[in-house]
Amino acid sequence: MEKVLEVKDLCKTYIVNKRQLNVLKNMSFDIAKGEMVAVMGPSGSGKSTLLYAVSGMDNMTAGSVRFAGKDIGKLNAKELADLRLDEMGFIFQQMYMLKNLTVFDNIVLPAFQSKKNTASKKEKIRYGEDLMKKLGIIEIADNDIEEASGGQLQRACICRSLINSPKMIFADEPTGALNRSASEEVMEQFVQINKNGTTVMLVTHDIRVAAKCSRVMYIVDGTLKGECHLGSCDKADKQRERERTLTSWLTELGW
Amino acid sequence: MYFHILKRDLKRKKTMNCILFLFITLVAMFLSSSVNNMAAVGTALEHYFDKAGVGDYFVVTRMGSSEKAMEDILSQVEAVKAYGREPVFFMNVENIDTDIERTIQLSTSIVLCNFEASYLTFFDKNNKPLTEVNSGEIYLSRSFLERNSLAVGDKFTVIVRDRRKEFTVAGGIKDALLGSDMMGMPRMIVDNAAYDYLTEGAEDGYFGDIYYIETDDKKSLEQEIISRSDINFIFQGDRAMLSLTYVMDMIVAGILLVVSICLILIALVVLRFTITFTLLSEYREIGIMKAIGIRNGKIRGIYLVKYLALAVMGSLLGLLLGIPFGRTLLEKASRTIVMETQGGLFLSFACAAAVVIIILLFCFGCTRRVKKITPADAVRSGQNGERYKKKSFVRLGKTRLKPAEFMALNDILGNGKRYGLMLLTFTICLTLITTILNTINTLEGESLIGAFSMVKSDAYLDNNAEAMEFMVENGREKLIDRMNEMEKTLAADGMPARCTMEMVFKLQLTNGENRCMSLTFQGTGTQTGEYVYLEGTPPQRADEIAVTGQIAEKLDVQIGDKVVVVFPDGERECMITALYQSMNNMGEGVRLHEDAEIDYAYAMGFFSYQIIFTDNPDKGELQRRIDRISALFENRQVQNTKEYLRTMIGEASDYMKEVRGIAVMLVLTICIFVAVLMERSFLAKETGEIAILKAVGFRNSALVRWHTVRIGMVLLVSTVITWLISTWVSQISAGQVFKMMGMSYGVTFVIKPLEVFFLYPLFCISGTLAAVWLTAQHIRKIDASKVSNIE
Repeated sequence: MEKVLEVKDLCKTYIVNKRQLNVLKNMSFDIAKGEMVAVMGPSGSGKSTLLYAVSGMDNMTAGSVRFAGKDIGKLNAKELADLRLDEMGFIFQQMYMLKNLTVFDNIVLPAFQSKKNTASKKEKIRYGEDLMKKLGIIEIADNDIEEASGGQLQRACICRSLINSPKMIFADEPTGALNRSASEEVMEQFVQINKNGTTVMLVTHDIRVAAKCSRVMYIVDGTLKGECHLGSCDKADKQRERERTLTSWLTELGW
Repeated sequence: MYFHILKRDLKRKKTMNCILFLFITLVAMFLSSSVNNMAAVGTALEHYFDKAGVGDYFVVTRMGSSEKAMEDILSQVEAVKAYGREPVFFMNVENIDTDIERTIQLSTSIVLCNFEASYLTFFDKNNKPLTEVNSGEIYLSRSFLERNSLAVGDKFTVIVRDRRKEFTVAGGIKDALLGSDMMGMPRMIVDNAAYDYLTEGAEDGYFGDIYYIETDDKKSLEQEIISRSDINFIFQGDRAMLSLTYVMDMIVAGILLVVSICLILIALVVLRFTITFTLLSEYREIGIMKAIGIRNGKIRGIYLVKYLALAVMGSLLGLLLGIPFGRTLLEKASRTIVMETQGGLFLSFACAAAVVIIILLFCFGCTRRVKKITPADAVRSGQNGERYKKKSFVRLGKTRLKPAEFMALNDILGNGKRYGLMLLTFTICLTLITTILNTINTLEGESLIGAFSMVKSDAYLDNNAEAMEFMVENGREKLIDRMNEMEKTLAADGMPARCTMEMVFKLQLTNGENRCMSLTFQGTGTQTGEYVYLEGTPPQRADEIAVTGQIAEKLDVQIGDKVVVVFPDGERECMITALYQSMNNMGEGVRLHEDAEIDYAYAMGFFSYQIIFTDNPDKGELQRRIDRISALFENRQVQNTKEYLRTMIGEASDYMKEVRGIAVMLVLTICIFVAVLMERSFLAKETGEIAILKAVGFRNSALVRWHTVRIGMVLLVSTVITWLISTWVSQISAGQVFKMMGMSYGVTFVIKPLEVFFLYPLFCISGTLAAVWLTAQHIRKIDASKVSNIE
């Protein structure tokens, strides 16, 4: 299967008060096209650091990360920015958006900035509207971000991450700030996006969220402790079973 | 605790605090030095006039015949307490020869004075009274000495008809009556023997007297003096009028005072922005302090202590820097004025204290916002959801702007107050520059020639050597013959032209009880229709006149009224047909019709020959002709309108040019300070937004452009506003100086669009944007991964 992300011997070290702090230690794994991978682990285990390092948002100390065949360690700042703009999508725990723009403008902004996205202005706008319709937030298109709820904003962030049709989406605790029903809705969208062929890597603490993924990686102290292959999430009624499987696997690992 | 918080704040907001500190320092420095300067010059003048013995009223007359009439008045009028008479001898540049190779710069008459017979006290450069003039020595007015780069020890020859006498320059003197830049009539002081030798047998018309009169009733004295038609006045006036002639010594200080006021305004704007920004970014801290029970007053105190510390430190430094700066300003004035003190430290201290108080009061007002913050706001970072303001105004899909420019525009429209303050600052700065430029261009432009009661001409030929020949009976016929000859000479040389000249008289006008003396002009070779008027129609007949607004006011007359003009040969009733304005003698003036009969023997002066070419030569040809005319007429000085005006106005435009340099640099510095300060604040506040944009793939260059374009747009709008208001602001600010000089109806400012609307704003905009661009480079240091640390 085609690999979208290849991580080999990834290390990330911080120097805090002249002391070396190894946050990621020789981590190696691959993510194939169409996979939906969750990263779990206790607080401070390096989950978010891993996500930022493999997505080129943060520098790595050692090792290599190949994204869609490109060694991101060898890309300069401009190339990395272009890669994030055209090939990757990002979603964060907080719904970060520009306060002075409407929800819709926040969503389509990356499309207008992209040089690779050769669609016409009208097409970009139509695509943005289609995404908003699909995620059920078209009614807040012209609202300022302060006029939208958390769940709506997170879905708007998903729309933004999809606007340039990226190869892969990176999500850092995307449901962390949402209530249970909003969280459910957002995760449904992730599953749908993944079904449409977009690879997803997300960091979460929530077993219900992780159970919707095809693979779960568990890291402790910057080291990959194990992986749990759950397979594709086709039927809603199997969700409970998947959650149980995952819980027992995590318990074995000391969760 | 306060000290601890202050120390932490000073460290954390280094750039912001540094810029605020510099602003306060500049304000205190300019304010203390300029106020001190104006006060020092203002109070020094009275003291100087007393010390020099100017008296309360002075009269300068020409011709010996005036002497008896003046003696009659001064002995008979009760209002006269005491007086002094000083005989003088009027000369011009033709009467001077020096061993220096340069041409002597002298556009007016020069007064030869006998030291032993002088009444006024003159002072040397060290403010010591002149006590003796040795034989063979000559003292010259300090400004004349400096303008011609004459030094002590230089040889200076005075020639009167066939008599020559060589002197050695012994030094420069300060002359209270004739020494100001605007008065511009230099004086030469020699010993009694030399004066007698040079003036013996000279024509009556070259002699004159200066009377220094002490009186407690200036008004009645003036009425008595101007009622006499047998006195040939050159000018007369009181201390107030004399003080006005020293206005140029205060103009730099005056402009700096305006700059200081602008700076205070800008400092307050910056302060407000900084305080609001600080409070907004410290919602959490303030909310937590409130939550644990700290009172509003205490919390406000933290901020007030910080600004008090900044204001006190900045004002103290400004006060210290203001002392040498103020001295430099006063040096210019002390060239012509005797000043006992170098300005009072008390006044400087009071100005610095005023700066501290204004800033503190303003801070107190700005920190009122603290009261409104609740502990709940701390948790919500200021978003309490109670108030909602629309922030997005432009739609990306409906604009042709690129994302960076679109975001910039939306930010400005969504944060009107914040960018409004920036707009106000830039507009004040740019308007300051355009006002100064408009003033300089007006002073240097050709249009002002009309304000000196002259028609605009192509060339101005110096006539000092021969014009006195026309100030005799039948002088008018002689002058017309002379100008006809000149026209023939010019035509024969391929320069068809019309020659004209303005003769100046001092005549008395009465309207019932109202009476005044006024400079009166009659053009020879011109028609009254060629001059500029404000209202009415030019005089069409010999018994019609035009008067300036000041004269109309003094006589309480309007267009259509009749007044009595006292001509040398008797009184004539003349109708006022037009009003005009003039900068001659602070606005007084009467224009006679060219056919009005008046004996030129009673003229008090004249202007240069004016040459108006009738074949409209181009610029290059005009310059060639000016050079040629000089050769045709005994190498006399020939000037174009600009050069001629320069000699009329004196050093005003030079002063202004000095100020222009300072102002442009100051304005640029202020714009840069403000822009950098605000950009730093934006960077601090928008770290999260920058990080998120980086995370979604915006390049650093696009983000730097977003920030730079944003301030660029504000600068651009400021420039447009400046374009719209610059003329109005020039009128209400610099226009007042012109009003003081006599242009009571205002002056039409000369506006050079390329320079005023393009070059200087471009200089300021590009300088400021470069600074913003450099500051915005900090964006490169913000990591996309910081998105996870946004509060």
